[in-house]
Amino acid sequence: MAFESGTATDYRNLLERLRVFLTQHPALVAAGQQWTELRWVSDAATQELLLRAPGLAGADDIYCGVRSYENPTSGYYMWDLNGSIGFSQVDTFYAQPGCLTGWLPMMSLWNDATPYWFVANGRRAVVVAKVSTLYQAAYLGFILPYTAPGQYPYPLLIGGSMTGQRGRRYSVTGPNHRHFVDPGEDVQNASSTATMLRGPAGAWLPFQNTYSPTTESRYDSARPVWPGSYAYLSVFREALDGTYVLMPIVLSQGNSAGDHDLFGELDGVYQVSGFNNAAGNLIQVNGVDHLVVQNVFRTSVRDYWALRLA
Amino acid sequence: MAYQTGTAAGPTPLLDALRLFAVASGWQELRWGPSGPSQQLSLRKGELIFHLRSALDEALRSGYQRVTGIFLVGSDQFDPAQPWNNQPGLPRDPSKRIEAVGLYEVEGPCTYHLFSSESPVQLTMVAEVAPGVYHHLAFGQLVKYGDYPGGAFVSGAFGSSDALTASASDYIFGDTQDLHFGLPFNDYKYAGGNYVRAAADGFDGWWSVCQASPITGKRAISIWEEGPRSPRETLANYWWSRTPNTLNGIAPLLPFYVFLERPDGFFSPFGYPAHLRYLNITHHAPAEVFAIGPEQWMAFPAHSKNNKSGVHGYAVRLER
Repeated sequence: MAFESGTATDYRNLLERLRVFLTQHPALVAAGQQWTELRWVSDAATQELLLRAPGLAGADDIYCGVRSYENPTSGYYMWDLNGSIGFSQVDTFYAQPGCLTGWLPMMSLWNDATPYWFVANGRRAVVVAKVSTLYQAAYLGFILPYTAPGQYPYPLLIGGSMTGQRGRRYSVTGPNHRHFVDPGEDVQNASSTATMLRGPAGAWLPFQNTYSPTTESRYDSARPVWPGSYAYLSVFREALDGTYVLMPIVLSQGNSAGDHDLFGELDGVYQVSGFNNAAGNLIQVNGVDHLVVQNVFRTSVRDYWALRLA
Repeated sequence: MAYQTGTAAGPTPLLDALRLFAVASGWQELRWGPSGPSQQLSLRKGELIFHLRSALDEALRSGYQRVTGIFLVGSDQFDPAQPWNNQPGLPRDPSKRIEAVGLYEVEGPCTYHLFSSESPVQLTMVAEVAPGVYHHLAFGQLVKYGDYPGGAFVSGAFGSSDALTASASDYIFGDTQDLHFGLPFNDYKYAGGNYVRAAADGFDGWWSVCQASPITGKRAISIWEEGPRSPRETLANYWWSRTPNTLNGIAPLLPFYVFLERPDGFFSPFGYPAHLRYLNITHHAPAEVFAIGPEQWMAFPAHSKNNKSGVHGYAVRLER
């Protein structure tokens, strides 16, 4: 897998760097896991990047995309995140085959210097960006499914850090502005969240742990993300010897139609305690560095996750 | 020898079967001999020392109910001059009285399943004490999070003196279909039937895996510890209620994570048994073998499938 960190000059430069990283990083090229650029359009107002990831053995076709745009008057600088099941040369970013429609998972960035961390393999990419004192994040690609490949061949997750429906400024607070690891929306069981999974039947499934713009209440939603759905995460601290323990993050479903599933877990992304911890810390697990990330602006014990930097 | 099945006529033959299996699996027999009307057994592997005793309508100690089955404890050392229940470093309550875990209700012949694993060491016995009713004993070493003293564990279907009563206090999530009798690392029970050995925060001894009122004075929790709302949310609840997968009928396994309660009220992750997992057994028959890639596991109900324990169960790693 490949890892890169640095500081982009602004939200557009960040996407330019991601483009180069995914398509040219030596570690990806050496493994035959570099992503293929299908469309790159960059004009004064927008950028549009559509990509195909090859999987770990070059046998997959995983379609993801990022589109940047801005509204300086309203004060937002965005990345829209999307995924599809194919690529159409003639269709727009928002009309690719089988893609997400409506409010997409997003990253709310800014037009200023942006420290970033990129991690990728042939199946998925994760982006973490620091905007002022806040953290934004994205997950583009496959999860690790709890099924045989033939049973669930296209487990595509598009994860962001904002739904966009209730405002897009990076300073927005509330359940619409949460990372894909512990997502929310300010209406119960809403379909616009920062965590969208293409399910086994081909439908895009929204995941949500919290709602209510004032309290960010937790509830047993149709599709919670485990273990973030567990309120008692707030009482977990580090191990006795001071090391931090990682837990998998699992996408689950239990809806009124009788479907109940543990679809699978995120790749290289884990829940970690925030007890005496801080965003930007590096913790070693089995000799590998993991970046500690806070959920946007939140800094309580339960609001941290870790990204494997390898 | 990593797996064996057979039948035993009662508690002492059952304990003898475990003894022979343990020795064949590389455990050192420290003592096997009479203890009152029954037999006592002490086993060692590396630094781990465990003691067992068969019981024929006997109580562990005064004040506890009489049981028929097997008691299990762990200790720090073996003193051949002392009986099984007075060894150095046994689990004890604050009044220094012994506490144990157990496999009871062995009233007649039963079928047993014995499992041995390494890295880390674990010995497990599951007995079908009545048609469709399964109880377990497991002991060994947890996979520890970090480097610190301790990590031994004992797990039983029962505590020192425990009754499997169908009262509301025995429901994990408050519903009758969610009874959880005998589940390994069941922290929903008061007192509990599981202990882990740890030296931390000025305490060097056995931590009781339980919901409240730790019988040794120190509490550990696992995946069933209830959350603050109704329906009771736990790490396991969200897992259990989302399995087996609608897509393919598979119920992913969940480790029995163990956390230790610290003086500040927070919980530190401590470890988990490597060869024992929680399992929703909706699509598994008792003692059914199933594969996960190259691994084989055997499924068991926590007590009795679709009866007292619903579809709550567990899987033991099978090596043969």
